[in-house]
Order: sequence, then structure tokens, then C-alpha cells
Amino acid sequence: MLPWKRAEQLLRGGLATLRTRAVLHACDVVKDGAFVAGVPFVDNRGRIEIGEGSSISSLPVRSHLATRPGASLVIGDRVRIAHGAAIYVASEVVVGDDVAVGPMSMILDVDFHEIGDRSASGTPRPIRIGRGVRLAVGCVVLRGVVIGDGARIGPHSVVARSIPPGVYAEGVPARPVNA
Amino acid sequence: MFALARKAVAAYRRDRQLPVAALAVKIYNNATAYALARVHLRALTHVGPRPRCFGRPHVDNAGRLVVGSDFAVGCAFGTVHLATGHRGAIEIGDAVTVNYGTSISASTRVRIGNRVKIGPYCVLSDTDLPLPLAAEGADGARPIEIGDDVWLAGRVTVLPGVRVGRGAVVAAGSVVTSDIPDGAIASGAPAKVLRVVRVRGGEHAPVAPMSGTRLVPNATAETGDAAVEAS
Repeated sequence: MLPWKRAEQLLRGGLATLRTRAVLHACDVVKDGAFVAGVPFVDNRGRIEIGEGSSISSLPVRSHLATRPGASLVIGDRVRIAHGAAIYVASEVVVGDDVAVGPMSMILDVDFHEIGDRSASGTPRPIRIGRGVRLAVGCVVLRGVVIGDGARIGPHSVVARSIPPGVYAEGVPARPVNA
Repeated sequence: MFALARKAVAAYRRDRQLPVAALAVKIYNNATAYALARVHLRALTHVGPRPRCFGRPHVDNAGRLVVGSDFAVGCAFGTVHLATGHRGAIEIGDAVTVNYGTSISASTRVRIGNRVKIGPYCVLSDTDLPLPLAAEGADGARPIEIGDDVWLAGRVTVLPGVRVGRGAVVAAGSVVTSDIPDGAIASGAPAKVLRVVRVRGGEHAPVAPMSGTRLVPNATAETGDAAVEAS
């Protein structure tokens, strides 16, 4: 590579790192190599950890990371979150390494209301997303779900029940499909 | 210049029932859209005549991004993201309109025909994740092709490797996972063909009118293009 090209690349990389640190200043831990495109909305009242080399896109629609007091969101290494993702944490959400989250997805560990009492703010149940899981476009992951390592979820699915490792699941609610 | 005047006359005929204030707002919005489009679309490889930008789209062009005439981008409630990788190309035809929140990303090739209408929050990406996140030189990229006169409604996702046929309509919220034939009306996730309407006119006749004009009925293959321009 030509030296001035290399210099330009290094400069751009450095600026991107500084920009990422500034945009994610509300997060508790941001490891090296994290990257943001656009400006995600971060409302951190608990704890947010973002792993090594993880990237969050907010172009063209802003992504949203929010935690309640005492809640924790742990995003693993090399996780890629596409634009328009909404991650709301009231208890605990763990996103494993190498996970890909498609555009306009939602990961919510609380329903915000109860069926009996609409003014009550639902009971949160933690979500665990295994290593190497791929969520396609527009998935919704509801409370208390455990998605096994290497599972793939089809587009516009609603994951309401746990998914075993290594399967392909789709539909509303998402069920394993032979594919 | 004549085309612009003709569009203005057609738009006036369509909108003359509007109150004066609404008409004034519309004229102001369109005038700004014409004036700023060249600035906002400066990173594109080629832009045809009379582009319009309502708001500011976000363009990341590392490859080839070509747009035909009368291109219109609406960014009312969110931006439009046009992104190409180093070996990527987006080729957009004439009189295409793209609404807000739409992301078009090409690591290999995304080809969009003439008079295509793309609704809000659509995702057209030839990789699983759209571009800033797609690995450079991703082997998984498969080109997307959208035919002439296609209408993609709101929140439609077109998955990698899909071809949408000429004159097809894809209903709101659909996910296009496989090829859609010419003139089909498709809906659902994954999108299923509900019925196929006869594509109007001959092989090269347009199905849909350009924005600001209307189709003359009984357009034939020979007069198709002239019919679209006529107001």
C-alpha cells in the first residue's frame, strides 16, 4: 500500500475511534475497535458494555440502546448491529460474540405493561443471545428468551420462546424450520 | 428546461384545488429540493437532470453510484442511505422516487429500473447486513435487480440475490426472499404472489406514470414513452 494512503487510512481510523468514544461516552465499557456509523441514541441508567470490534450502525434510522437503573447490557466481541435496532434492558441482556443483528430489530426484556394492569410496568426477564447467532431484518426478541449458539432467525420473526442452538427458526412466533 | 416546464404545468393541474398556502409551501419545498439536490448528491458518480432532495440523504460512495433523470429523495422523518463498497455499484434509472428511512447498499450490484417507487423504511441490501457493517469483499453478496415500474411499499425488505419483475407491486411490510415475476402483486413475509396483472402496453411501454405526469390511456408500445411525457 502507498505510504500516504496508509497514512490517510490510519488518520481516518483514529478519527473514527475518537468519534466512537464521544458518541458512546454514556457506556460504561467500550473496548478497542468499537465502531459507530451515525449517532445511536444511548440512554444508560444501568450498565452497558460493548466488546472488542463491535459495530453499531444508525444510518439511515437511529439505533437505540437503553438500560434502566440496575440493569445491564453486555454486548460481546465482533457483534454487528444494523440501523434502527432498539435494545431496551430492564434486567439483563447478554449478546454473545460474533452476533449479527439485522436492520430494524428489537430486543426488549420487558413488555412495559401487564395484561391485567396496564399501568403496571411488566416484569422483566433476562434475554441471552448465544455466540454466532444471526438475526435477520426486523426481528423482535421478547423477554425471557434464550437463543442457542449459532441459531439463525428469519426475517420479520417474533422470538417469543427459546430457540435451541444451531437451528433456523422463523415465523410469528418463531419456530425451528427444516431448511 | 422544457421537461421541467411540462412537469410544473402537470403538477399545477393536479394541485390547483389546494389552498393557496398549501400550494405555496409545496412550491417552496420543490424549489429548495431542486436547488439543493446537486449539493447533497455531489458524492454520486453521475446524476441525471432534475434531481430533487427533500432533506439531506446520506451518501457513502466508494464504488459506482449512477442515477437517472428526475430522481427524487424524501428525507422527511429520517435520511435515505445510499452506500456502495469498493467493488459495489448502484444503478438507478429515470424518474425513481425513494422515501425516508430507506437504505440501499451495494457490495456487488443493485440495479433499479425506471419509474420505480420505493416507500419509507425499505431495506435493499445485497449483503445480509447493510454496508457500514458488511465485511469488505464479502463473498455472501448477491446482486439485486428491481425491474421498471415496480412499486415497493413501506417497510419492504428485499433480500440479497432477488430479482423483482417489471411492473410488480410489493405490499407494505413484505420480505422478498425469492424472485417476483413481471406484473405480480406480492405480499407477506416471505412475500407470496397474490395475483399477476397484465402488464399494460407492449414490451417497452411504461406501466406507471412519472411523478407530476399521467399516463394517457391506451398507450401502445410505439407511443409509450411519448405518452408518459404528455400531460
